[in-house]
Amino acid sequence: MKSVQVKELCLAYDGFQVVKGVDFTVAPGEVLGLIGPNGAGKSTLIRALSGVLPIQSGEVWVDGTDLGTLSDSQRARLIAVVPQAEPLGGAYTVRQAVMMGRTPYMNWMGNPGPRDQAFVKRALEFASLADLAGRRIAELSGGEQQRVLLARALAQDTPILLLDEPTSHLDLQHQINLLSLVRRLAKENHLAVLLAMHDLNGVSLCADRVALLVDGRLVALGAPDEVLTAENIAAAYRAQVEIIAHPRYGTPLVLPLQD
Amino acid sequence: MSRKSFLPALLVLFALLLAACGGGATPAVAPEFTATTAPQATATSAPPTPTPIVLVDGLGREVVLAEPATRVVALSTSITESLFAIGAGDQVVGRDDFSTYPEEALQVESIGSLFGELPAEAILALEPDLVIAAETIAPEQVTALEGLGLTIFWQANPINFDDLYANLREMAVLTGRGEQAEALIASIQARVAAVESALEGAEDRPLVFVELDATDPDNPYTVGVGTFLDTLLALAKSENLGARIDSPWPQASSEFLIDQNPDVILLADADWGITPEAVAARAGYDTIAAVQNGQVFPIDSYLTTVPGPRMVDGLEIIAALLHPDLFE
Amino acid sequence: MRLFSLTFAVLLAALILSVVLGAVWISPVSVLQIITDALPGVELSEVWSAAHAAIVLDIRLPHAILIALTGAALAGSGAAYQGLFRNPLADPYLIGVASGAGLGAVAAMAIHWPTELWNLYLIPAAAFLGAMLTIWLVYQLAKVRNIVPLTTLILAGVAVGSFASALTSFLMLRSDAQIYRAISFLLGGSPLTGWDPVLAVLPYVILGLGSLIFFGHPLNVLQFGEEQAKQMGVSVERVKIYVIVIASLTTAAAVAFSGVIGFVGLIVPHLFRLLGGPDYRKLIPLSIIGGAAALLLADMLARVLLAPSSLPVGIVTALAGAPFFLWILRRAKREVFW
Repeated sequence: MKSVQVKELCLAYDGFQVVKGVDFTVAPGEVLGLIGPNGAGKSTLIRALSGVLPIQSGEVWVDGTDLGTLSDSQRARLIAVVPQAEPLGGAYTVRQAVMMGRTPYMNWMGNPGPRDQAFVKRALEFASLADLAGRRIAELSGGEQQRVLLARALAQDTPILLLDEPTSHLDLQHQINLLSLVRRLAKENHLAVLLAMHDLNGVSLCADRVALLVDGRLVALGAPDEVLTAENIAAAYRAQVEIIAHPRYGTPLVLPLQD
Repeated sequence: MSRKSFLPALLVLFALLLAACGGGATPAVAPEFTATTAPQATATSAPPTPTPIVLVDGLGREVVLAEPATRVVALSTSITESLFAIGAGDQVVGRDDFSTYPEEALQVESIGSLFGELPAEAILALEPDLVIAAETIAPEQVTALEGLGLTIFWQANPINFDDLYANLREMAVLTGRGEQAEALIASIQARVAAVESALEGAEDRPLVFVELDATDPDNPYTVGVGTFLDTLLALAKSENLGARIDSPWPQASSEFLIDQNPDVILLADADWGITPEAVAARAGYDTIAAVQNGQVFPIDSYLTTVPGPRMVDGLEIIAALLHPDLFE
Repeated sequence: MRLFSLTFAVLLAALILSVVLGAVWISPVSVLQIITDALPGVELSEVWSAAHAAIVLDIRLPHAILIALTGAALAGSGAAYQGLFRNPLADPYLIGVASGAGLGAVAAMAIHWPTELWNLYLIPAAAFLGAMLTIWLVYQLAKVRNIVPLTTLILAGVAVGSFASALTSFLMLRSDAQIYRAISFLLGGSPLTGWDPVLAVLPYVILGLGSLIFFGHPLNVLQFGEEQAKQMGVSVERVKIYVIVIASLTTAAAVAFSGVIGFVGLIVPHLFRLLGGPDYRKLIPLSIIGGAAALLLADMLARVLLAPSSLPVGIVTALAGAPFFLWILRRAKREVFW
């Protein structure tokens, strides 16, 4: 159980200042939803936290450890990422792909020990992929492929989980499924989850807190009904919306208005 | 170690490996190459003696034979022809695919083509006591054959008649055919002298272009300085247009040809279907003196490019073509 | 596991055939006797000719081993390159090893070495040097600070390679009758016989391929993209550098002594990917064994078809490789194997 603290993080990319002095913390068991318009820096932030992008200034801490001091392998034991589903690696089976999540723990030849097998088994079950374990990824549907990526991140057994637009290509059923899986993960396994998404209503249902990123700056951070207000949305997305309470759960629902 | 020092370290490692291996390779017969400035042999022209034969070949290697060779493998057309011409035909047990003269040579077993990997197995199977190689055999191939226990004598291609005589004498010593070789040399010398004396009164020195290959008709290949054919042209009292280009096997553009306006064009590629009419029909060639005066002639490529005893035939043919009034 | 045993069996069969078959007919029994007699401590009464013994022990056996090492090096490196670049068209010559080696070899052939400087290993060393310099140049051109973008690497490799090839052609045309010698090298073929080339190549191939086998798992992870691989803890830039350097060295050593043989490095990995799946932990060792067997078979054809002359083995691999590649393509349309 660990939390991740981002302190005054600045990220530059191709000469552009993409993230400007961002501060936030995700606690164990918490789902923090990261929203904002395109180009706001959500993906950039996720990539920096996972070590793919170099940090310009600022720090990222996981409890008492500065991520900047860690090797790729050490960082991978703390942070796992569920990226958007892509057609890469399609020839591998589901089990092979999920096993790759154990890379930080296995030897150089990637031969799994009993612990690795156990983690993979649990991850496959959690993502309802046990029946599909022997199928090649390219033969699966979009929703199934996304679940493979989730299972792989699970197998990586990290206290921190980052998800980058995990529902973008999924149909409604799979969107709902995935988000409830993520919430279960956070609550049952006490993971600190950072979830970057376009789908404001999905975030509203799934996240404990929401962070609104506009132009690289954190302009709002708080409970969903504090952040998902008509004024905030209008300022950030330049779109007129009306906010109502979800009839069953009471969480804010964002309803777009036509011009 | 840093990335920058990785590469040089690897190169040093390879160099060391090379040195280690190179030092270990000791061929069966000949010692290391010795430095010589005169690559031709220092043999005598007297008949062979029963004492061991020691000659230095064209690569500076000392080759030793206990007695004249009786099982010779000839690795070039000219060498095969030369061996038969000095009467050593019966001692030839192997030839390459292109050695087709004289007719008796066709009875000798061919070891295949010399293009690419040497047919070492076929050569070994013939159990020769001597292999005579020409310039087409690369030094590493010579060493490779040595490593298999064979005795090899390498000869550079002759580019004039003196070179030819020296090569013939070497072959004579190696095969014990001194007398016949001297007779052959004498007859060739006589014929060359005859041509030279006939040409003494020659008033003109025609500019000659020899076409070796016109696969690209706009850029035909010719012969330059450093080839036997260039020597023949000089002996035939003519000027070789190809000598104006700086290479033994130069490529001349059509423009150059038209500009230089040769008096005679000799077609050494006639064997491959190039006719004087075809040449005359090429664009712009109608301005060339040779074409206008009907001085485009096919010549036998074998007799003019295979550096063997019959080059003198080639000389006679060329001289007659260039100075018909002096040769009836 | 069955696939491994099968491939290994084919390799053994190919090795045996390579020693038994050749331009000159020697009975298999004689071959066996000759080899047995050559083993330390064994003495058989000699009923074979010295020429045959020389053919088997000094020509065929070392040649077969050299060819096997070359095939293994090419296919093993090819598999590693395909994994690294995530590109089915990748072969060991992708970033310029062949062009560089060709230029080095032809440049050495074009020089008229004085006899006191001449060494049997001059041309292989020049080829090796040419290959490594080309790789280094391509790497320098492609790298951005400490990162090597793969696409840039390929483009730089193509550019430098084309330049080297053009220079090579120019040298070939300008240097008298060395064209045949140069073409021999560029079509694949080793003018060196005997055991020395084998000993020279052996350390590079053994060490190189042995190391590449250990990159099987990182290459698997890399198939999901460099970002995802890094997120799973793989030191991506280090893996890239190591694989490029090791595969290039191994290929360069093979090419230095055996000339430029095409298709093996491209086709053999695809074949085993089709038969055994995309797991590089199996694919690389399989390609190594299979590559050795494939090249031995191609070389056998090259030596026997036009006996006593031999075709350059690169022609056989291309002639056999092309229809094979088409067959793989047809299979690929029906099932996912990349």
